[in-house]
Amino acid sequence: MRISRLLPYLRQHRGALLIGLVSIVVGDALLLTAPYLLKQAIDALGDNQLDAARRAALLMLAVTAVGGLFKFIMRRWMIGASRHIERDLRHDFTEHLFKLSPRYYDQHKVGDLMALATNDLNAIRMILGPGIMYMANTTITLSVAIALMASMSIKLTLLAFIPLPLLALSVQQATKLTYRRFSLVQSQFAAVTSTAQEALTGIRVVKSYAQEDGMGDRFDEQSHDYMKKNISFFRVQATMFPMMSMLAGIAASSCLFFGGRMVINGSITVGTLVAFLAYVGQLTWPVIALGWTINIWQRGLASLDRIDKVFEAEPEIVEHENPQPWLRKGAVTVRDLSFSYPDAPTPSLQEVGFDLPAGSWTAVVGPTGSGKTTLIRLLSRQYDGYGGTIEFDGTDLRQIALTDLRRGLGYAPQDGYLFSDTLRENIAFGAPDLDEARLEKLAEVSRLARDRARFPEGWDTPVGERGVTLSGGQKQRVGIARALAHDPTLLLLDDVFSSVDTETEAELLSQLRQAWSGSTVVLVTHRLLAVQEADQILVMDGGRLVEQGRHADLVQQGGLYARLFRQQLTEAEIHALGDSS
Amino acid sequence: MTAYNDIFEQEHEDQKATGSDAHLLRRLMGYLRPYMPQVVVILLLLVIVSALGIAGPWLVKLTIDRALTSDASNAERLTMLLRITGIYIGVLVVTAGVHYAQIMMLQTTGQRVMFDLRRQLFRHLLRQDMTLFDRQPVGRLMTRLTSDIDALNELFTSGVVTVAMDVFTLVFIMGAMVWMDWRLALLSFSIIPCLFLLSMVFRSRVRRAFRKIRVRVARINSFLQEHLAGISVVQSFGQEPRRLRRFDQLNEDHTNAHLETVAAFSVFFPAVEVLSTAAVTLLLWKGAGLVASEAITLGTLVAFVQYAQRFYRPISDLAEKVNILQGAMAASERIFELLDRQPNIRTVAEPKGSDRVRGEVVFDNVRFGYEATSNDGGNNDSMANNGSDDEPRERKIVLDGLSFRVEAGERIAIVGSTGAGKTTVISLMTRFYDVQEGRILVDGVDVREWEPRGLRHNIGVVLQDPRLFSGTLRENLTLWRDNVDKLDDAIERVGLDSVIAGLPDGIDEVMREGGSRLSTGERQLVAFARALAHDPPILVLDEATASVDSETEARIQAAIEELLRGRTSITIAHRLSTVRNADRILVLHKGRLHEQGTHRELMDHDGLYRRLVDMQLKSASVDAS
Repeated sequence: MRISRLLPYLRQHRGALLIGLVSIVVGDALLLTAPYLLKQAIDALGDNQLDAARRAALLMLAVTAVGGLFKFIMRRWMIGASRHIERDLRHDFTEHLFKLSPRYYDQHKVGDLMALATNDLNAIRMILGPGIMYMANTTITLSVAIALMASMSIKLTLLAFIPLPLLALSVQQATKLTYRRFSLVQSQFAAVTSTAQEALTGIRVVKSYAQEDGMGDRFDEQSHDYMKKNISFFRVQATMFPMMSMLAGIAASSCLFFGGRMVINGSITVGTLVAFLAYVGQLTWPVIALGWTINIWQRGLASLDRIDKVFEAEPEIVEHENPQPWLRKGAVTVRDLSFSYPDAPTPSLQEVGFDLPAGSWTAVVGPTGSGKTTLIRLLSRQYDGYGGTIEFDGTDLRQIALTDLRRGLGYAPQDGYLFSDTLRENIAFGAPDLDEARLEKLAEVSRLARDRARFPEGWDTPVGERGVTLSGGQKQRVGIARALAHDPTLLLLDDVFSSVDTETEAELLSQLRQAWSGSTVVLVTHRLLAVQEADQILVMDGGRLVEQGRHADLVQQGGLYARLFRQQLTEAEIHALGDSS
Repeated sequence: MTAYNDIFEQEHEDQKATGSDAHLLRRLMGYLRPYMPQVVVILLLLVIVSALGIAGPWLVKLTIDRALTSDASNAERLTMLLRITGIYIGVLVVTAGVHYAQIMMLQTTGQRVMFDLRRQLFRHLLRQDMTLFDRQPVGRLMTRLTSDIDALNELFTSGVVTVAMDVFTLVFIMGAMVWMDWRLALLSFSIIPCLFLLSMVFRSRVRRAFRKIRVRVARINSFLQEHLAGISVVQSFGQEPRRLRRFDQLNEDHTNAHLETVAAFSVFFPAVEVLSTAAVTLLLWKGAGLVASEAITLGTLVAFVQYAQRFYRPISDLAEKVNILQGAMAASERIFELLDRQPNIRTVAEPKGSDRVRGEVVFDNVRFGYEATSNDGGNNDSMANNGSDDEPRERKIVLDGLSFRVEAGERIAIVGSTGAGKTTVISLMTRFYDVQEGRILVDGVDVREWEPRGLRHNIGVVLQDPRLFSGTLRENLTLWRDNVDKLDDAIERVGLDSVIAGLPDGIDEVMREGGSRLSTGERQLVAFARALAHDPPILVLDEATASVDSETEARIQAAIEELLRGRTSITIAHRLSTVRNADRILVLHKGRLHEQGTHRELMDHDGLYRRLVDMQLKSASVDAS
């Protein structure tokens, strides 16, 4: 039962909700007596009782003031509570998202999940705030007004109400249509956006092929369609608002006609008629709100379904039921390792096997798409569900306690993925209580220290979203420092030197070897020139481990490694010779 | 806290004061000129709708005075009642019809204007030179094209036009009141300043809160975006709880901003109600005396009470419009700034046409540097603070007096280290940028004297990372040009036919953005076929450095061979085979031509290239031993 997900939140805020509901009842009841007092004032005037009329008018003001106070409380508490519930829901939702494993993110777009965390959570909040509030408001207003009106004239009450259900129904239908057409507008908007975005990011191609006009036409087509969808959306609006005023007007005019007839034949007073007109006016909004509220509920429940699906997703990577400590010596054994991503036509890894002795240094090389990154992901336990085994110091990877694993692993992804914090916070990402001395040492090893002068606020310089203010090489070096900060036993570096120049790379690697001699290091790289010193080189091709050994041996074998190595010499040596000339 | 620079900057943008609103408004109105007849009709319809809108209370007054409280016979009174009700319903139906027509015309016209503006802006953007795209993040340009233009639409539809409606309505109500009784009218008007003040205070508080909300929602979004896209980093470092605490702060801030609006709304709505009732009470207090002394009728008093309750909507609307106006002004300023930007690459008065060239290319002492991009917080956007791009900037010199000559039909390979200026050679030849000194000649004519698009028709470019557009594979090959008759031939020659055979829909297979369904190697073949199908006399190829699997590598080699056959070609070479097959090799170093010649000549010359090849041979012989 989907609504049951909300019960704990409702329970937690029951006090505020209760105050809100009581205020609705009291506030509505008070405000609805105003037209009744207006009737008394008018009737008193008709009878020439000046003082009575004035007394009724003053009383009306007083009643409205007190009623208004309760309405204030209602809104403040009910909508306030709904905002707090939204906050709590968003917290729980994000907490859950943080638990889900990378595989989930391969299958779901981050954009969609973000839409859930904002739009859909807001739709759910709409149920809890305005949804409940207007529902209660409408129910109470209608029942109190009908009771008061009926006490004056049952017949006129019935006649006045004829158009009102029609109003509610038409509002509800129109809102639904509005929503549907608006979704069309939005999706066309997305099409316009992506066409423009493509053209602007691919501007070089567009210009190279002199396709400015072709692209312009494409954009115009999308944008014309957007215009048409917008107009069709506004057609609903253009019908809805005039129709609403017309139906409300017809309710008033039928009240005027039938009520007028009753005044003429003396069955009601003029004051009663005026009060009826005032009631019909006062009821118009709650009736309109009724149609609107129905849609709030429908939309909110649909959102709740979507949110529910995410909440029901189970994290793939969970603590083993019988977790073992990790000895943290750093020996890795991989046997028959195979892995496929969902929906991928070919496996990413096929029967890969190797040993990494504790404290050894291994390079993984091979063409793009050969499975290097996948290997790193499996070693850092981002995915389960592989065939074969991975053992760290003789313990199955999946059995090692997660906190142990994460404390002992140092992982640096390809692009150095940074967060929009300061440099210091990024480096200390996995070791929050990093002291100054250690920070300096990390900066030294990762060759960041010499860039320090370029950071306006030193280590406290913010790096911008995903580190946009840093160069590619700086980002990668921060990523390395971050991976080292908590003294990992096993260091996994995924192509972290692609934007670092070769000289710095060589310095960094030798520093690393000295300072972290106890750690087992796995380095994925495309630059073969830097890995000639590695204890072991694993050569991957098409998901298989095709060659394995030391540099000299591999060059001698004359296989893929030798070919890649020769290819890279071309450029590197032009560079080297050019500098020396 | 300093982290979300761009969002703060965005907030700043919103607040940007507009100095010359009148000028902007005039310029905006220029876009309405083609739709003048529609605008006139819309205004006319508006007057009718507002006039009809005040009929209700007036008819109630007539009913009370003429039908209900008059001394005529019952039959006469009933006839009168029937007539008034008939008029009332007639008025309602006509109002609905006119109102519908008015909204439709208004929105249709608004949409048309936006379409025109969007079309103009997009084409203007595509015509800009590369400096704009180097300097402005695509996201920001997108904002101009989308939400800024929408803000202008709002200015027109719910801004200018509905302000007119509100003013008309207010004027008609006030007129009707004065017409009925000026004493009571003045009394009623006393509530207007209070209502207006209340609305202004409320709106400004809500606006402030909404701005906070927008910024804070953006912060939540970028936090989620960053952390969900980087979930593997967060989890690998075991940082979920700590990052969640950070998120809680953002979440709490967001909620607090919303609570500010809740506070404002919860005061505002009851306050309006109380104010309206106060007006009614005043009217009854004073009006009671007037009715008693028979200075006014009971119907008039009732009509006054009803009118007084109708003041609120137009006044509150007006208060809101002030804000919409401000927002739209800022948006229009940004759009016009972009529209006023002239491309740095200009076409001369009588450009050389688009004839097919023979293919001779000369670089004559070319000096060029890119404008320095500063490291000052990722925001080197100049749009906000200057209208011209011509002001001198610090340049990082890339080409420093580069000269070389390529004969028609010659096959050239350029080699050199990273940063030697290889890619820049391509960008200058196709005139993405203009040289700072020296000149570049194609068929003896300076590229600056060519019509840029005519020039580019003659030069095919294949970039390192081939970009595919969403659309079918066919569209990606033809780039929406109809007359590409060499397409099948091109596909076959680069060996793309076997790739197409493997696609479910063949050549009509729909590519997703970025072309994720094809491998890197296959995407390169698509780019080759695309260039070949357009059959340019000059081909510029930036060889990909990414290593692909052995089989694909062989196919690419063969395709390149086909691609270069029979035309002038300049290849930025990363493969030894490309270098060996070239007629001439240019060795670029530090922005200059270090040496050039055929493979043989360079070997004899005993320079950089010779030493390179020697070393290469040495390492090859090491392999063999």
